[in-house]
Amino acid sequence: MPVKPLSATSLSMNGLGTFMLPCKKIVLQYCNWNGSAEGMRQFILNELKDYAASNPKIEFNIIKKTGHPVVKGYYPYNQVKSICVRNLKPFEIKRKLDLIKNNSSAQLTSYKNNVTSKNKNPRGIWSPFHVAPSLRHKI
Amino acid sequence: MNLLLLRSSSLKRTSCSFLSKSLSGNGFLISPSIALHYSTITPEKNNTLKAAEEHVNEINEINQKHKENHASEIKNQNSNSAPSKIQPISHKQTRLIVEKQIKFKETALRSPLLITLHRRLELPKSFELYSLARCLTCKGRTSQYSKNADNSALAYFGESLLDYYVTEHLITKYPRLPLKILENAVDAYTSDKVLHDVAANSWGIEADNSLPIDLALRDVDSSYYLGKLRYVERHKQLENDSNFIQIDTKKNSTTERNAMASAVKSILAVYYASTESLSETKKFIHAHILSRKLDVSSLFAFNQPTRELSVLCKRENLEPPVTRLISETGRLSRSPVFVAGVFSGTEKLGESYASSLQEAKIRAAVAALKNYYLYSPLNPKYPSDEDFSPALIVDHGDVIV
Repeated sequence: MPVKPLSATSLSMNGLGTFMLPCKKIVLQYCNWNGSAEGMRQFILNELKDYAASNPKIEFNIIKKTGHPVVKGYYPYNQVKSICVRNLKPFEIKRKLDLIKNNSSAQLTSYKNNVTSKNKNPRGIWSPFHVAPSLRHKI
Repeated sequence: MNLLLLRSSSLKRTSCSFLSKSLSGNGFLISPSIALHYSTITPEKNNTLKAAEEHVNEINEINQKHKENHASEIKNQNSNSAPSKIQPISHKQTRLIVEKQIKFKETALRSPLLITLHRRLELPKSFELYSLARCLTCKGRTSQYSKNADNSALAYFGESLLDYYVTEHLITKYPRLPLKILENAVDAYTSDKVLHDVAANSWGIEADNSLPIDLALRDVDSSYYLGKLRYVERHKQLENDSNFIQIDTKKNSTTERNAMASAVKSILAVYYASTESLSETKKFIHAHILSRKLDVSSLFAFNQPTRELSVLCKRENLEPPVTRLISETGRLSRSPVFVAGVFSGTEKLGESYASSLQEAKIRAAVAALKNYYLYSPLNPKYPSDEDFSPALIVDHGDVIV
């Protein structure tokens, strides 16, 4: 057999065939007595039902636990992002939830290149060897 | 191509028998609801009861017919012949079975995880939630409601659906791919590792990794756990007193990877069963699995590329390949670059660069071979397309060096 096959795995390209929301689960952690969870309690009582209904692709969980209220988002590859929402008002908590909902779970980094892509450049890269010999740089 | 077509026709046949056996559609509707733990969804009880009554009536009719047939058979037969062993199911038993089924369906309707997964995948309404729960139940972890409702049969059918559409896609896209490379390319889309990635990281299916003691203590069939992937975990390494590694061969045990893969395959099967359309299933497979990126050119490892190329040229009635130096720089320096091209007559078959003449020659031959094997027709039609007209393709097979 002259050609040997190598094994490979295909890579996920989210958004190409279909878009799956990276955020799959949101956990709201609140406390019944803590003053810092006042806004969270109001949010759970009044606004959470509508918010959850408008985001049917995300599973919402509520956990009662002492301490400051926390909002946690669960993403692919076992990634978790949590935001402490102590002393925040319901509308501010809603903003934090939007932040978690729209997150891609990627680490915040400053990109050095203007374009990063998994695909090859369709035009190829410029090659000095394919310029006409008369136009080449001469040393 | 003919093989593919043949396989597609056999697929259709198996699917029909499968449909009648495993999934008979009921008039269930998924009520729009919020996926919350505390939220309670009231299923349309009247509908379920009606469906149940219809079901019972059907079974009664079948039993009645069975009895009549049996009686007539006995009349016809001689008194010496032994009576048939098959006995109809009693009314009480059917009632029990149906009640369990209803309970299972109602529990599935209340499961927040199942509802979320249904919405995430944008499944059609005819894809019932209890079917989704069945897709997530692997062999050995059936529920108390229905003992035979695992996903093994569904996964078997879904696997052939998936294999068919992936193979069809790759053969149509790259008609000259050698068989071994094609097999590996299909594996790159359908292997358990890839399907595990699809299920766990894209679809967001969670595995139920609870310890056996937890399973014994809690309500395993509660609506919440129906939405998780339920399987018997295989423990590979168990240390006993003498520190020997044992392999736990528990019956029906699988790894998480296999279990996830079977869940994906069975969801494909039920997708077909609920839409009753192969074209919809094809769209679903293309959207979720074939949209993944695979560089097919990275699957090749050539042993003797220059020899293979010359044999290939001879077979295709082309002039023998000649390697020519196109351009070079720094021949006497420590980092030279040579650009070599392989020509057959006046036509350039391939071109590449390297830091030595020999390597440049080999790389150019590899590029030429890849140009040949990775030929891809523009806007191809799949055999499963309606407006597909089979063209005569004569493939000479692998190049023998």
